[in-house]
Amino acid sequence: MKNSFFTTCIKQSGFVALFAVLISSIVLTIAFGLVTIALKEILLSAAGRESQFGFYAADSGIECALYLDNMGKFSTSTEPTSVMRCNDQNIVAGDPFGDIDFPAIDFTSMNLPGTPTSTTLFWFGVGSSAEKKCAKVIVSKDNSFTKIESFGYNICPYPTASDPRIIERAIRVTY
Amino acid sequence: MQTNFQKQKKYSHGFTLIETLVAIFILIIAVVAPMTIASRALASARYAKEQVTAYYLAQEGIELVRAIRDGKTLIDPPLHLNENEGSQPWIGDPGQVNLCYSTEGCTINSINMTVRSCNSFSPASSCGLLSIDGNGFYVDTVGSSSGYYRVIKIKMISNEGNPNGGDNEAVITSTVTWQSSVVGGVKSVVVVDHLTKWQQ
Repeated sequence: MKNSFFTTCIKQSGFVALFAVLISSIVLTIAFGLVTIALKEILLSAAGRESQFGFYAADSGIECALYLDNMGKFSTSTEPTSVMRCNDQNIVAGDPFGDIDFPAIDFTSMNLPGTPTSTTLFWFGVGSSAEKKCAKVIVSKDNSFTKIESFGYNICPYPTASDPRIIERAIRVTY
Repeated sequence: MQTNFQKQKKYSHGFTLIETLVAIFILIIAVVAPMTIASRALASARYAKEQVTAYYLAQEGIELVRAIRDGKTLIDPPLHLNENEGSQPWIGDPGQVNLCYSTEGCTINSINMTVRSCNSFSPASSCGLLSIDGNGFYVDTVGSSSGYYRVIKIKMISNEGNPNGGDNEAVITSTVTWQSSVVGGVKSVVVVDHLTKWQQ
């Protein structure tokens, strides 16, 4: 029959290993926790930076549309007739890249008071071609109101919603 | 017959030297590796902070030019779109943002809106160095250096429909560069915005 002291010795034989595993796992958990936080911070800061590019692309699109509208380029006919220029380039009405398939937003409450008599859609390239930012601009007019919506993208010239880095920022102007 | 003490002695022998060395080696790996990962993670977090600071500074650069344009518009509305502004450009007063037209660009003080051409700096690469003033603002005057450089360039464009040749569009480029102590090398954030003479 074993006495109690001997039994205690047997029970304590894995203590060091257990302690080492415990400490290692605590340190590892803390390290991976920090890595997770840091990765999130990096992603957040990169997204913030890319978001700026998208926002100023959208803003550039708005400025271009406001300028063209004041030049009387968007008549109430279906398509603008005269040549439009922004950024020293011809602006061609149309949508060569198709719809960027972001989740649909209900714009019903933001519609023009009347029925739009014309809608013009064009793409606007920001800066030089090296910078590769762009905006999709939609100008809608009824008899007395104008609505301009500009969707800026950080990745161009062929933005696709499937690109994980793409960010869309939009600005709307009504008057 | 063995006593209890003899039994205890039999089962409490020590580690050999090899066992000890292996144990130390494993423990060092187990502690140093996570520590290294943690230190890298903290460095990445610092880089994220640098990047956030940089893009906000770049945004401020664009907004400074916009503020000058809007101020100019409110005080002195631009002439008709088709008219040449001559020496009174719609984007700002003479001696102001036109200092940013050169290829070297300019620096704008965010507190008093003073515009200085980078041509006046020697060397030109020292242009736009931002310091942190007593209130924590990033300003382009001498002080406690923040390590960030912000240079603003403006390119004027005369688009079609402007028979008098006046510029009716401005491309604003705000570039923030900094020497990253964390990831090494010079990093930069470039934000581009277009302003047009749509007010009249």
